[in-house]
Amino acid sequence: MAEISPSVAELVRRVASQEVSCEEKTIHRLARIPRIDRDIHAFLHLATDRATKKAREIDRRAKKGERLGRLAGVAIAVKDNICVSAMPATCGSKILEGFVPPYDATVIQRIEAEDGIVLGKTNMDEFAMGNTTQASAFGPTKNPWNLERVPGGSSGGSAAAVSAGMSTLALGTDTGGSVRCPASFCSVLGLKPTYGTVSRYGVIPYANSLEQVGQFARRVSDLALLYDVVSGHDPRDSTSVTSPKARKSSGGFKGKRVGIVTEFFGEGTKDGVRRKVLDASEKFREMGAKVEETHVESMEYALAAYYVIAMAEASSNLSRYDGVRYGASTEKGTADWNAAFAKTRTECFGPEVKRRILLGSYVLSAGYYEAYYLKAQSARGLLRRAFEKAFKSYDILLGPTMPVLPPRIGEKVTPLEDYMIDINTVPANLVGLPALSIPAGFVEGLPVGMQLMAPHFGEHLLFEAAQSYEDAVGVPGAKE
Amino acid sequence: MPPRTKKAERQSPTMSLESVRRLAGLSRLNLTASEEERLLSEFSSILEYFKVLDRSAGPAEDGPTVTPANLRRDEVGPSDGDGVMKGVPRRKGRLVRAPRVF
Amino acid sequence: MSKRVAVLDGVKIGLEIHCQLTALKTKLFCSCSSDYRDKEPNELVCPTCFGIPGTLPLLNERAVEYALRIAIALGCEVPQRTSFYRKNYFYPDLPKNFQISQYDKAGGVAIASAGSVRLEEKRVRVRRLQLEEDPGKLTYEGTIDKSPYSLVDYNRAGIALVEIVTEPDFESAREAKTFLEKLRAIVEGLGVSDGELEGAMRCDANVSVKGGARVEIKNISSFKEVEKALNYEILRQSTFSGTEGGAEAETRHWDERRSITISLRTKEGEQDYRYFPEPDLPTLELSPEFLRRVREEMPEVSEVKAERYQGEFGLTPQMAKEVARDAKVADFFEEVVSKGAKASDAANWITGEFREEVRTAAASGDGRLKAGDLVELLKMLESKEATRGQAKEIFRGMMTTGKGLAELGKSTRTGVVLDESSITGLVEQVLRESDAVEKAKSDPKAFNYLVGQVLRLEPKADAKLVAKTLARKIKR
Repeated sequence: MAEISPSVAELVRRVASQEVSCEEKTIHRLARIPRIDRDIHAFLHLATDRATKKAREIDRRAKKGERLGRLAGVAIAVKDNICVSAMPATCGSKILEGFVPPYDATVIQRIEAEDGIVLGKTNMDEFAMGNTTQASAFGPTKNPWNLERVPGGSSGGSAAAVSAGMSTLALGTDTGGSVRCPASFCSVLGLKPTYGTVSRYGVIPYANSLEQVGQFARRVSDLALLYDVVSGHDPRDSTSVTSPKARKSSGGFKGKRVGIVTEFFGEGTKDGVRRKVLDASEKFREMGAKVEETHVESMEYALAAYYVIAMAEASSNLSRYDGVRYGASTEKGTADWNAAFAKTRTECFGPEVKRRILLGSYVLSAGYYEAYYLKAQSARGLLRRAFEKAFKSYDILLGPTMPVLPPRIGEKVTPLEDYMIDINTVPANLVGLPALSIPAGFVEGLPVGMQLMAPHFGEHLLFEAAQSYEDAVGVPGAKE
Repeated sequence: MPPRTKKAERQSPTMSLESVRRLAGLSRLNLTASEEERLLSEFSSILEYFKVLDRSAGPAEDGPTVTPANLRRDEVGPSDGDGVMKGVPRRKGRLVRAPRVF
Repeated sequence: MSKRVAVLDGVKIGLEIHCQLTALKTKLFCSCSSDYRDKEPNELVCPTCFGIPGTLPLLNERAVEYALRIAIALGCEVPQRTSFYRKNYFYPDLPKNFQISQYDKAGGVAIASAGSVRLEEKRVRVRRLQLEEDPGKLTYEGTIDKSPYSLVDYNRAGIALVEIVTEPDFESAREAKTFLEKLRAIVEGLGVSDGELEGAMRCDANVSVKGGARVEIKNISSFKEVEKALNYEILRQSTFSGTEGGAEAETRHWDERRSITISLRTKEGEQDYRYFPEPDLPTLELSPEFLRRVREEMPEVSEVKAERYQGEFGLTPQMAKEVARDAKVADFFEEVVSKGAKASDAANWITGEFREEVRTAAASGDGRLKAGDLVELLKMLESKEATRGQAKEIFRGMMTTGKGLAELGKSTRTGVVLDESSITGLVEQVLRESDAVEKAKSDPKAFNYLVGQVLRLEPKADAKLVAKTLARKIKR
């Protein structure tokens, strides 16, 4: 385990005071990444020129004594479904090979406005549909803690990049757990913010009503800083909200009410995971929080409701990939449009994407819309009310992020078995709640994550809880 | 647990090979016969699982709302014809070349 | 022949009109200029209207306002909340392979519903109004069926459309055409669309003839074509009558060049649009305050006004149309009626032989047209204080001289009519002294000013005679 790296605030101070050259550091980092990433395959694209140029500019401005941004010189890896102009954005799919977005996502603009350095684009399950990063058309990412295991997904590349020390911070997207799952499997922090607090402008959608851009870091303060930089109302996203002013931190965790949600420890939960998370939750009790077991109603609907809604939205979102306006087109002849569209889509979409497009089409089609889509929406309502009720009694709800340890790469499971391990992460997306996965230790040498959930706009509660925990157990190390 | 109502107890419809084919057509995806068979069996077990929703009777979610005052003003901004055309796989002059429609 | 008439009795036509809101400066969901005609192909596109992944739709506030103007003018019900739905289908002119539209089933609420338009003696029901985006435009090299590929210009993609769907209330092609002409006048009067522009108003129709199924006709590019297409289709379908089951349910395409409809070979129910709520656009709240503002700011269209005059004041359609045609004249009419005049009398006077004078005087806006005086005059007529001829003289005097009833009434009733020679003298005097003579040759205001000058010299002079003499003099 490598030396624990300094906080972002300290890194920024060193750059601003010219103790270190941002350019040198960046060049060094960019040279080091391929050596590490040969084994891990976290990156799909390294933005060497753009990153070095930005670093040079930061040094120049530091020299002139100009005020630098809050992320000055800090390396940030970006999931490949977030648009950065002049960099590819493949979404881990062959169908977007060659696509270069002509614009920057709002989160990228905000990061660059604070002098953060976009290091490159990271691997992911195709169109964010998966929890292992094996469904990338460009090959799987490996778990830095055990190269035979998956890093989780779909933002596996981003989580692995932070976990392996290749990047200080990273952005992912979380539609049903795609930030928290790899955070858990890679032993880093991963936040899924409240729906609407981070702009989705420039995020290539999988399921719009569920997803948010999430953040990865190793330190709570760094995570909170990155969230603060990228969040905030964006007029380019109609679902963006102005979050109410965060309540002043009460400092410490004494007297906070923590509910351990029984439903998060369902029958699929591995014993080691259960024990580890319960042990970790003990820390909160030691810190003076009131910790007790509780129930959240209607949880049995969450997974089905999530998959119905996500697939429905996905089937429509992915219609635009037809080879006419951008991306790959495999029909070179003069087939008619139906045949040409079908040829490109058949040859360029992977099996999981096809599965979700077809099933998503099904739940929306005439006669089935009421049976599936509308019922899923009413389940969503039930779940919202269930959480509202639970948060009347608790500040934080807690459970394992993932019920299992990181699976082996190539392990054969049915699609349904695969979906089932998202059971604890999807409720936050259905209800729009903020949720954070924090490292809770290791079982059989593999990371275990603990999920903390808070009411809408309760990110500060999550940071507060995680900070107290970090103060008690220390900053998790990188696996390098 | 929510009360079971008569309506909610109605079984969700099941899938057939014919519907897999229809969906593939609607989605512009070609499937081989063995893919159709495999997907049918996968879909059947997934849909079986989705039946849990039959019990989730409740009012539909009221989504977020917006008032006209918060909408975009009708003011012209820049277009980017050249920018978006750069990535077009096949073009003819300034037009996008698409497959024939007849 | 009698058989043909019987068949034509059972004709039912419904229309689906797509009206571009051409008065908007930008597209429905992005800030690209909507002025796409005669532009280079794919010049007015941006990542959003080109369907580049990651972009998000931003609804144009004005588009909502303009759609509501149409809704109000058509007497529609406007809901408190309306939402957008995705209509999913593939086509090369559709940048996202779905269209952001609206839906009135399965929980969806369109921006307006249940309106109606009076068409002579009947009322045509408007089922609903929807806001949606226009697709791009396909062109072909050579002919559509021979071209090895199609070419797409997305400049039109994202232009705001209001879709207006009627109930099948038309019984002939002519009726449908009359309705479309009226609708066009309404949207133009509302200042939301210019029907003159190519492709600004397009129409699909559904036609059924007694005993047969409903047939959709697509691609009727202009209103001129509607009557032709419908008549062709009615004739085509009526040849099926008597045969088993009549015409088949299908979608047909109007071939403008050959003036026939051709089958698109799509069966009813084959399309499955998989509508669901657009997750990138929150439900829109239409508060009573917002609706009030829209109502206050919208011009009242003469067609709509005429309908109101028929209903409210019992005017005949012809007279109502005449009064409503000019907004200022209509305002004058309403003021006269509000001050107590009988509506039909007021309308008669305003649209009768003085039609032009009233229009000119109303347009001048200089207060010459006094509603109170016309009301009094009509009372004098009724109470036989004045003869019709006298009343006419006074009314004309009011409009040409700007004098009030009190003054004119006095001179008229005293019956002083100066002889032509003394009027000629007065006219010549004014012409010598005034420098507005040249102007009066072309400018009616200046002319009326001169008439006024003569009347100032001799208040009892007959204004009509003065005007006549003056006209003769200055044209020489």
